[in-house]
Amino acid sequence: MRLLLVEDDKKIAKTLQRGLQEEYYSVDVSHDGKEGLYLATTNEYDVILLDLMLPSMDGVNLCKALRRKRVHTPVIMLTAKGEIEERIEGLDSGANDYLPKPFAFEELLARIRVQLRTPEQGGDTLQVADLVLDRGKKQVSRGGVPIRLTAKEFALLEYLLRRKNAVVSEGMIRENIQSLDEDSSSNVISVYIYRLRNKIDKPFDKPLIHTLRGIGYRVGEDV
Amino acid sequence: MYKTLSIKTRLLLYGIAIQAGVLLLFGYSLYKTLELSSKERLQTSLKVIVLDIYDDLAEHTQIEDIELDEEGEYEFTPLFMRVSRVVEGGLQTVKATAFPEEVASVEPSKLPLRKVRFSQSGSYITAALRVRLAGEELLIETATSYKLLNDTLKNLFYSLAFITPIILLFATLGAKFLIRRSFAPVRELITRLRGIEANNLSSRLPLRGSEDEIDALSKEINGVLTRLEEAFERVSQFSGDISHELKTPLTAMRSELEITLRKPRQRQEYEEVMRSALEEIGTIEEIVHNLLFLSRAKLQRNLPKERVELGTLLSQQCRLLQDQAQQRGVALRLRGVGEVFVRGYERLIKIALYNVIHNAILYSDRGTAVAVTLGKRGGRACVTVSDEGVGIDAEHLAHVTKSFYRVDRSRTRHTGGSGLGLAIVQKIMEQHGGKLELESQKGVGTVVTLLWE
Ligand SMILES: Nc1ncnc2c1ncn2[C@@H]1O[C@H](COP(=O)(O)OP(=O)(O)OP(=O)(O)O)[C@@H](O)[C@H]1O
Ligand SMILES: [Mg+2]
Repeated sequence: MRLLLVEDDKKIAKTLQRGLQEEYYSVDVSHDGKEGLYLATTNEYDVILLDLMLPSMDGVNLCKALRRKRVHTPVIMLTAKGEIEERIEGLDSGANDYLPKPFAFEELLARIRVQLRTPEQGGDTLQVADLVLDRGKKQVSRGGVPIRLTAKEFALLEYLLRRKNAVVSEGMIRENIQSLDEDSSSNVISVYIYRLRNKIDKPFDKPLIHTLRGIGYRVGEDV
Repeated sequence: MYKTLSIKTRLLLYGIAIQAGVLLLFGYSLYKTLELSSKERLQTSLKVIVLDIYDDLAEHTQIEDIELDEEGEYEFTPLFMRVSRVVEGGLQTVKATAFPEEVASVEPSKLPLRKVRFSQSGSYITAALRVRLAGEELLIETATSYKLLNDTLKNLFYSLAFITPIILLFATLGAKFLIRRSFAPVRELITRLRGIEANNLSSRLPLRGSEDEIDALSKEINGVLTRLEEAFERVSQFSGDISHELKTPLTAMRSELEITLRKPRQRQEYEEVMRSALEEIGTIEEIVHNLLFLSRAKLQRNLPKERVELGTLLSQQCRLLQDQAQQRGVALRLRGVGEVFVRGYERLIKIALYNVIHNAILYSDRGTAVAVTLGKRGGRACVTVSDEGVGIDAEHLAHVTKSFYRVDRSRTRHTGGSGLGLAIVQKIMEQHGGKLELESQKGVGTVVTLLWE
């Protein structure tokens, strides 16, 4: 999952980036409004975290500009201004959620999860066939049997499940799963896919993770 | 008790009292006038008759010959006449018309000669005249009953006693109506004012366009409301700013601590986080400290101003900031001209000097210079701090002395502080009867002038 954090306070930005990365999000940070807008329109993010008071362009205007450019990435506004009028202004400018500072980090995580929910999934769970991933509880099970995954495997599986039935390249995975970047040996992703297969597909009848040689991977039931 | 009555009730009571007084006075004088004038008329008539009888007596040689009933020509009833001879030890009636018994005769010796005297007994009024005629002393008396007059007066009294309360009643009702009418706008005003609370200070009383006292009052109240609203706005803006200002370091601290606690970490990491939290606490402390300083109405209570030498203070503050200037690559130079004395508070002047020099260093680019000059302008002590830094746009220049106002609102904690510095300087200079002047051009530099009394 790839997030963009636009926050002018360098310390807060750094801290949040670290905390989110530890949750296996890939986080880009910008301290400037215009730069933030540029990043938000050129890269694809799953959620944008936006501070309101920013140099060169404030959060509300950034959000409006984003929506004008038909970028509909979910935006969560983070701001020390907690007045109702300001919340309304923020939400009216096209933001999806509004979190007043100071906030609990857990709440920020929960709100990011809300924005990541797709319409057909009611809660924090993702499902393909009988494979179920619960992001809130950090649990994975297949056919009711719990499967133990490491945090990195979990992040990878989540990414694949969110794009179920679509083909995902190794590059896309690398860009979106921050933690995989750490040891950047070229075959690190195939190693993780291999491990994931061992846990998810091997013990069961139907394989769900498919490799498309030279193109990438796809999660879904066989067509 | 009296003080607690409403103006309406008091007006009404005054009105009733005044009307009652006027009516009583009117009734009394009417009664008295009538009484006196009637009595006088009676007396005049009696006197005339007495004198007539005297003339009559003078014409007759024989006193017994006079005819008293001749006097019937005076259409005057009841009329009693008596002529008596004054003899040793009393009176001897000569001629009389049924003179009523109950009228006591006057003691003739007490009467002056040839002067008509009046007396009253019972409901009779008597005129008496003592004369000497042909060697005899005579007493002529005429009397009448003023029972009739009394009856008339009594009737008048009764009708006044009856009519006065009625008039009073109607007058009171009328007054009450008028008072109610003229107080209706006041009542409306009160109802409207009652509805005004801290959260709807923007509402105003409507003017009726009548330009009367009520309108004048409404206008005044509206003026007060406007001023209150502005003050309230400032206060809530200020507290909003305070909370915003405090939330930023709190957010940094909270996120950092929470994220650190989510999993076990190296000792070194914990130390780093604690140091960083301490830094944030420092920021919060500074804001709170500055706020307390600003919110004090008087910066120095009950202390007399002392003689302060600015030159020494300036070089002291420059020395204090020299390190920071060097780190930022800014050349800080002090150009003084000997000693300049002002009356004031040393502690506060130090803070003011520190703040403006610190700003100059903070908002300057590497390789530029900050010049601090001490001198006099128009006989007043004057410190100027000029820099070649980023400068301030004209649109911001008027506002930078306001609390929490920063030109670049977002670059809070990395350049400068919370935007309280110049507000504090301004307040200090005001307290010294001096002022803070700012001149600036964006991209060229800023000149800050502190001018003493
Ligand atoms: N010498 C200067 N040159 C350019 N801008 C200045 C200068 N002095 C002040 N300013 C502007 O005015 C603003 C208000 O200054 P002030 O000293 O009140 O607050 P601050 O320096 O931001 O914070 P604090 O002084 O409370 O630590 C500053 O944020 C800055 O934008
Ligand atoms: Mg300052």
